Amino acid sequence: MSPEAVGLIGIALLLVLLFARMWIAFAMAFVGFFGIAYLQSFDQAFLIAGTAPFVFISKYALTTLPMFVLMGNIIAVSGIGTDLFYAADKWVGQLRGGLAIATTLACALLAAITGISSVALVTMGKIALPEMRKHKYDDTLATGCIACAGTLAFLIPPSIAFILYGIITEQSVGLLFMAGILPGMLLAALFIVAVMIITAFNPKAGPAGPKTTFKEKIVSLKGVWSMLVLFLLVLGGIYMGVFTPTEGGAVGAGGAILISTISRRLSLKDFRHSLVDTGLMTAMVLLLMMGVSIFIRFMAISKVPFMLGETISQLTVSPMAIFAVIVVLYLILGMFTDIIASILLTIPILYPVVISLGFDPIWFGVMVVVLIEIGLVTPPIGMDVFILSGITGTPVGTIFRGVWPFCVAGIICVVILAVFPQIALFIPGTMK
Amino acid sequence: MLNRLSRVLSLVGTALVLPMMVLIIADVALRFAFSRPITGTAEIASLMLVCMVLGVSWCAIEGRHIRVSLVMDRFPLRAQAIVDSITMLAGLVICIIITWQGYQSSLWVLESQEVASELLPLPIFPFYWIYVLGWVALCLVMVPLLIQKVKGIIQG
Repeated sequence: MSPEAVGLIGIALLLVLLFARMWIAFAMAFVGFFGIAYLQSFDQAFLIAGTAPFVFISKYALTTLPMFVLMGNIIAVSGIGTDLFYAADKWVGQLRGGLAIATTLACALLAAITGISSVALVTMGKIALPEMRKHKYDDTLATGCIACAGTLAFLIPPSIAFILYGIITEQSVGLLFMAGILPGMLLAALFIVAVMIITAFNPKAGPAGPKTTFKEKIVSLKGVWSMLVLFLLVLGGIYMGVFTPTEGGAVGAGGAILISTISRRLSLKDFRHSLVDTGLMTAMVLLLMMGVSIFIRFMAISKVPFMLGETISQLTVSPMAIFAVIVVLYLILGMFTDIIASILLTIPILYPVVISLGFDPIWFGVMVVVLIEIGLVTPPIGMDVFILSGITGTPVGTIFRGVWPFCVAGIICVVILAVFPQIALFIPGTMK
Repeated sequence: MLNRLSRVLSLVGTALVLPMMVLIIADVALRFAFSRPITGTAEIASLMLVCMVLGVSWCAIEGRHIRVSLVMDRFPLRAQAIVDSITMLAGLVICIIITWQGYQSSLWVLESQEVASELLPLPIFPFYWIYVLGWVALCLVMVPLLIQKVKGIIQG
């Protein structure tokens, strides 16, 4: 049997094991190990199983993961998100659907200082949703908006998704961060447009709030300073080259701890809880990464990605048509797994293919993240919808009914980015 | 007993988060202010990260390792238990292989006296042992998880 055929059988077996509810990390390690043993030898497979996982996770760049998770966990308990929401409400609350727009804005701002969506889901689920219910918002609009705007955390830097993508593809995490800024703002704007369209057709879904004076608006900004300080500290430092994105994680976590301690909003109990959760989350991702480390070697030995790239580049269809197929693939995949698993599962196979087609690796990273974000809120498995349902007690079905206008906005964002890749590549271009 | 062991290991791994943060910040600050970075920060922080593998067994007990349950949820309970037992066994097999080979590598690393880097002559074999310890704990906690699934088949 040719190595490529073994590789394809391996991928098929991996899918079977995944659907059989095997832990994703073990499924990848298992298929990778036996694939290498079959193609080369058991000795070689043993050697890789003994060294590859250690080498793969002992990377300085990966230390960013616990750092940004810690930063997010601290911000989640510090009330910074709540401040952002109330400030945004003062500015846009008087519009129709104002609270939903304020939620989207607050999520976008929160995304600029966190790298995981759960922070926004927890904060907005506990603060913005009761507020919207009090003002007789339609539950589908309210929860759909939170679930979707929460995913902005993965697109607007810092972002765990970009860190993992950067590590696996050996691309610069700093460039990926910068590439996420404008598309993130674009997607947030499209979400806001979606809210406006929904409430234009159905004004009862999101009644306008009371008018606020200019003075109230200015006063509300006092709640935004801590976010601004953290944002300028981390992203500014990375952009100016004072420190690397890897170091930015530690600086951000330290900054978040300092700010929330000074403003007396971090109890010892919350702090301990944040730390323990950081440890668990890190261990979970480490196990996944160790599984990937073996699988990625198997893929390289089987030459499947190379073969796929070769075959596809000989097709006479345009690269954009192939890209459209990849888009559909990600949308389907996103329905079944969470963002970290999606990236770790697909990038080892698809990334070499995409690059051989001549797509920009940074731009592709942005596209993948937007696509997986959509997957995070689409049925049957929308991780973020489940999390939000767990936090707020809203039935999953209600939230799923509310997300589709925002998914349309997401697809529009993908199309715009495909037509104008400069939106993603402009800021990274100014960095060098 | 097993639970307590993995909980303690996990806390040891977690306890490294703050020192890691402080080390990196100190490195950045010293470099920025006095152009005198701390030698070996990258190596030490990476090895600290490796130590966080100690948390994988507690993660397993807490049910935090990601899997796709969409398809299996639709099957009868006994069928679920059968498939889970098989995948859990396969998982245990690969888990033992990685643990055992990790130990073999550690011996090799010990013998060759491999160090973190030329700048930082810190031997890395102890970190291999910590890494292996994390894996051993994971193998151990998977056994009761597997037994639980097999019991599920019998009880239906």
